[in-house]
Formats: sequence, C-alpha cells, structure tokens
Amino acid sequence: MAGQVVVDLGALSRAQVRLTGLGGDLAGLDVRAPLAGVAGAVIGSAAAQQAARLADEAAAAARALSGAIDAMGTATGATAEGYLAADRSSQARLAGLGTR
Amino acid sequence: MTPTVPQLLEWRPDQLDCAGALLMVRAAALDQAADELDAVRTGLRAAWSGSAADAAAGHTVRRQREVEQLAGTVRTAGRTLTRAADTLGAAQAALRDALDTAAVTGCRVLPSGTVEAPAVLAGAPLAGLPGQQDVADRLSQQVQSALHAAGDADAQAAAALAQLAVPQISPAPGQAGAAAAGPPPGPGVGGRPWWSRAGSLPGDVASDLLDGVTDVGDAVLDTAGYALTHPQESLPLLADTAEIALGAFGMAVGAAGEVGGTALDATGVGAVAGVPINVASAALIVGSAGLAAHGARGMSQDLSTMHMRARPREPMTGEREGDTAPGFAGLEQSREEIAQAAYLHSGAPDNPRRPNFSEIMAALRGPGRQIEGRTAFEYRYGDVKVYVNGDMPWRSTAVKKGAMPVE
Repeated sequence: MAGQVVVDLGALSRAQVRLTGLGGDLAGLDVRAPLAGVAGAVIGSAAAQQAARLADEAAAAARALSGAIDAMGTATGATAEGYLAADRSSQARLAGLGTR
Repeated sequence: MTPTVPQLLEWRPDQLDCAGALLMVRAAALDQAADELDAVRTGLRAAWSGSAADAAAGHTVRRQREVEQLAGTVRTAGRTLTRAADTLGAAQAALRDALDTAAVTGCRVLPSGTVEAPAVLAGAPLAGLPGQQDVADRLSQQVQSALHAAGDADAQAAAALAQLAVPQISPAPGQAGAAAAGPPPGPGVGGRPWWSRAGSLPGDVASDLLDGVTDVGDAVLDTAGYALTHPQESLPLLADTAEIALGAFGMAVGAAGEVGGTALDATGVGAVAGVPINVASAALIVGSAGLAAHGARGMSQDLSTMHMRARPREPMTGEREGDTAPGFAGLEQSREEIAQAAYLHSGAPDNPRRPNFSEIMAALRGPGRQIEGRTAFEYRYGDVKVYVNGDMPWRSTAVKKGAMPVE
C-alpha cells in the first residue's frame, strides 16, 4: 500500500474539540420555534401552514447536521487514538525485536 | 386565503416580524457554524495528510455546504416573513382606519367586509338616503381592499415558503433514528399560571396595582417634562390635535348638509339639488371621520414616542457602534435583535406575566451587570429581568416578576 501519512496528533485533538463543540452549538440552535410561531401570529393563514412544514424540516436538518458534525468530532478523536495505538504497537513490535 | 375582518384583526404582524428577525439571527449563527467548519478543515489540511485526511476533508466540505444551504433557507424564510409582516401591518392599519370611520358614522361592518348603512335609521324618514349608502359603499371598498391586500400577502408568503428546500442530511452512523424522533419540545409556559398562586394573590395584586399606578404617574411626568423642554417635537402632537378638531368640524358640516339635503329631497322638486348635497355631505362625513380617527391614532403614537424619548437613555449594550459595555464588545447582534430573541424565549403569548417587547428594550437600555462566574448579563426594568447569553445571544431570555425563564 503506497502513500504517505503526515499527522499532527495535537491538531487532530483540537479539531475534535472544535467539531464536538460545533455539534453541540447546532443542537442548541432552535430554528423551529420562530417558524412554528407563525401559526400563532397569522392563525389559519396559508403562510402558517407552509411555515409549520418548513419548521419541522429545518429542525430535522439542523438536528441531523448536529449529529453528523458531532460524529465527525468523535471520528477525528478516534483517528488520533488509532494513530497513537499504531505507534504504541510499532514500538512494542520493535522492542520485541530487540532494537530498543 | 382572503381573511375575514375578525381574522385580519386577530393576525399579529409584529409577531411575524419578530419571527422573521429571529430567523435572520439563526441564519447568522449557521453561517458562523459553516465558517467554523471551514476553519477546522483548513487546520486539519495543514496538519494531516493521507487518504484518511482526504476523506475527512471531503466530509467536512460536504457538511459545510449543507450548513450553508440550511442558513440560506432560514435566511430567506426570515426575509419572507418580514416582508409579509410589513404588508399585513399596512393592511391591518387600513382596516382599522375604515373600522374607526364606520364606528363614527354608525355604519356596520360585517365579517365578510361588507359595510351596511346605519341600521338605526331603517324605516325612519331619513332611511335610504343616497348619502348614507354612499358612505357604506366607500367604507366597504376600503375594507375589501385591506382584506385582499392581506390575502395577497399571505398567498405570496406561502408560495415563497413552499419553494424553500431544506437540505437532505444523511444521518451519521448510529443516528438513523434521530431525524424521525420528532421535533424537540417547544418552549413551555413561563412560570405557574396566576390562578395557581391564589394563596399569595392579594399581596401580589396590590403590589402590581401600586407599581402600575406609580409607573403611569412617572410616565405622564416624564412625557410632560419632555414636551416642555422639546417644543419642536411637540409639533406632531399639535398637528394631530388639529386633525381631530378639523375632522370633527367637517363631520358637523357634513351632518348639516345631510339634514339640508334631506329637507330639499322632501319637497320633491328640491330633490334635484338635495340628492347631490346628500352625496357630497356623505363624502365629507367619511373623509372627516377618517381624518379625526387618523388624528386620534397619531396622537397616541406621538405620546408613546415622546414617552420613549423622555426616558433617560443609557449607553446601549449589544449595539454595533459605541458598544463599550464589558463582555459585549464585538457582539454581532444589535440590541433589537437580542431583544427579539429574548422576547421569543420569554414564554407563551397568552402568559399574562410575559414581558412585552418594549419592556425588554427598556431593560436593555440599562447598564446591566455580569452574573458572577457566568458569561451571562442581567438587565432590569421595573420587575422585568432580561438575561443576555454572552456566548449565544440568540438564546437570551426575559422574565417578569413571578414568572420562570423559558428556553
């Protein structure tokens, strides 16, 4: 398998923190309430019906994005852990060969 | 749909405007999230290479695009609601004008918008005067025009919202059921309803009444003092007073014309001159009644404006310019946007203890103080407290004495 991997594990950890935080921010961003509030502002209107539909869709999208970005953060952290585990494994193998 | 008269009166363009402004704030927050994703991707690109790094970058770009698309949708929805609020507000004002005139002239406005001539004259000698029917017809046109304008605005807003597409987000692994879990619970009613606090009600009511009387007295004194020291700003008030007087005079002249025209009509031959006099007099009554109603409404607005200006104005926080309050330097939201966010999170619309928008704005004009150990700031106005979230201003909230904050 050809290829080159250069990685700064500190940068991966920082990215994990930022992505997880961003996922949390999006989870707290309520895009539904303003749109759902249209129903009470213009009762029985056609705009209220469309706003209600959009409220559910936008809220679902924001929720999915929040989860997806949070998952990216988790994956980034796991990647850093994976690289560290590979490094430790290599060290152990080399130690077993008596090269340390 | 074209609303009926009661429906249009019930609609709340101010709430629609507030929702539109809040959506704009939400869109700005989504833009920031997209920028943050871009910054994360750029940082990773500089520190990580390889096929996994390429996959991560591609994934980040995809999510960034989706966040940008959602921001665009939310922003367009906000603009749509704000535009609709403007048109509905104008239609509602025109309807109220017509209703005021109808009340003054004794006409009856039906829910459909049809206006009937004064019923009290039916069967009387003056019944069926051409002038009275003309008044009703003119008012009917005004009411129908306002209802149709509102209906058109509603249809346009609905069409614009229907065209908005929300990005289809593929859920992350393990998140498949999340999207189908239904919307999050909405904000509840802030605090207990007043009737559940019956045990402490008498004291509260007495205190509230006393506070209310004191507030009104202060307001009158503030406004009167301001009018005396700012005579140039009292001119609109004088103009509106003159409008009321002129309107009353015109209505009196119109009424006299009606009587004279009717007397001529009664002679038979004199109807040739009497009928045109009736028509002209009716037009004069309608116009004068509208003028008087406009003057009265203007006077109310003038007094309200002068009262707002009479209040001492502290340096604003959360304002884009001149913002020096600790903890708020560089905040992107304006004071009004923060007030809108706080208003929307202050409880259910029917909550009697929900602070109104003006009270929240008044509180935000105060100096405020940072809550110890937190990034939140507290502002007070009478028994209204506004809590501004320094990290997420769009999640700010407001409460009134005896109510619990709602997020």
